[in-house]
Amino acid sequence: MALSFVAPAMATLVAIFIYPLCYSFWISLQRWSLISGVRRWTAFGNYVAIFNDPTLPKTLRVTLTYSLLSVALELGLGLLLAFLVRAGIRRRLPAFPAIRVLLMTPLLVAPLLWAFYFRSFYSPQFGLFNEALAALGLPRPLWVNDPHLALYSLVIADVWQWTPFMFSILLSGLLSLPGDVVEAARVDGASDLQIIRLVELPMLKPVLLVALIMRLIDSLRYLDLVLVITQGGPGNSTEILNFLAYRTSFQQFEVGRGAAVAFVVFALVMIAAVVMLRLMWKSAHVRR
Amino acid sequence: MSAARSHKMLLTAAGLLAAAFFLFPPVWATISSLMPADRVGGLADFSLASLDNYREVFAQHQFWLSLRNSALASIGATVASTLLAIPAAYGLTRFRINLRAVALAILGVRMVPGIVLVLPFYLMFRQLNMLDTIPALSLTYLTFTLPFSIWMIASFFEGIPYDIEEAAQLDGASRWRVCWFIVTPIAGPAILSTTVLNFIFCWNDFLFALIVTSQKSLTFLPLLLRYVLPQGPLYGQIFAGATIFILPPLVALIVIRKRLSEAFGLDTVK
Repeated sequence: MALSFVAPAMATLVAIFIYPLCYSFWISLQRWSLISGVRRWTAFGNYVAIFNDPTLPKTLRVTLTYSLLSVALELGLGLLLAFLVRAGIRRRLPAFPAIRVLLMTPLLVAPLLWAFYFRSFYSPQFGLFNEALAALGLPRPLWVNDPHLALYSLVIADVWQWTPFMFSILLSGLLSLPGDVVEAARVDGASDLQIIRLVELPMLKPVLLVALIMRLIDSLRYLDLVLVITQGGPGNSTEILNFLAYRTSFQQFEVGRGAAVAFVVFALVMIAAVVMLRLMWKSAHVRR
Repeated sequence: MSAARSHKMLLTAAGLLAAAFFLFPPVWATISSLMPADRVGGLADFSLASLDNYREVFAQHQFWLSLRNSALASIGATVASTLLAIPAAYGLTRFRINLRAVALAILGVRMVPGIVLVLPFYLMFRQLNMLDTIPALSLTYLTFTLPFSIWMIASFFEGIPYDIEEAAQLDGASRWRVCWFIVTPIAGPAILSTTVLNFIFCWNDFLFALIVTSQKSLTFLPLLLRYVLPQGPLYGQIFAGATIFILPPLVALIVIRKRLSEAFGLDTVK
């Protein structure tokens, strides 16, 4: 009986998700170029080639720097904003319901548009940032055209768009914390900072870890900023793994190799998720 | 002025400043879209403001076509995933299936990078002669809308007490009737919110549309890449188009804002 309700959705998911996933893996086991049409079986040859590629360590370093740095900054800023807005909501200040909604608007903007905004802001001569810096008499960095700065410029754009995601989840978490525990701590003479550090943050940990998992997964799968702004350059200073997968399949049309890189991205995402889930379960056990 | 009052004003000022900061990029791009083409992106000079960029974009057939395509593909995927997810969610919650396992499976689906799926989609649709069609694009969107719908709707259904439907079943209603005519209307507002969120996810998709569509079904976001010329992007037209493009999700969200806060407990103040 239950099956007849679930079957249509399951069949759809098998057809559009499980089957393509397997097909993709099968492609990754072949040497296949859409340009020359050459197609032959190599088993794990593509994977071996990826791991023997001397540029892989650099690509991994760039990928992890980009993801970990932006997610860490988003977490810190999001937490700060969540406490700020909660303070306003608690005191029933009239501006705060609106502030809360306005703070979420970047989430509505398509990531690709966001990338175009920042490509324009970062433009070395006529970009907003450099025109503003010049008007103030300050030096004008090259932003995304400077190989030492490009990755961090992308991190800034990422943090600017996705901090609101962390903020909105953490604020919902903060607002649903039971009030009596905090009251008890206050009666015992704990200061505001002590309450945040010793009572609220530990209680917030499960929500915090869920938000971290979601952001980390999405950040490792992210493509838009690199695709629009730097195309992996200058040099290969911003070539994240996910962009390498895109470039190999859809600019060089080496789809076998591209599919293999895509699965390496997938593996990386799974490792990150498993590590976070472990942390989550551990913290859940400690609390009981 | 008392210390408490100045504290409150400081708090409000900090909040407003933060909101202004995060609103800045889209707002600035919209202001920028009013500038002459060679001034777009830099500091604004309001004496030069005009609607020229908008006139230019509105005159292009491909612009309107791409918006239509974005809308059709998103609506198709959203409606299909809601219709498939409602019975699935009912089955999952009413026949004692372990929802925790379902949640993990759905997290697993979310972990698959789009780039893994988009390649087989391209090859499959090429073989089926479905490249550059709206249904093909809608199908690719189901990969993320369907799991999201199932998960959201199942968690709403879980909160609906079982005795409501037992009465109907005693009256001889079949499980299908109960699912569609009793349980679904109760969760109606929440399902609508889920649908709107899914619409926004599809509307903002770029990667699937870039690979699956090319001409007659091309959606707005991949179209933007064609505004990037060798000498640089046509920011004026890109930002003018972007302003129009942001309106539908914005309006949809304003319309369902109240429902959204009910569905997700956004207004809880403790």
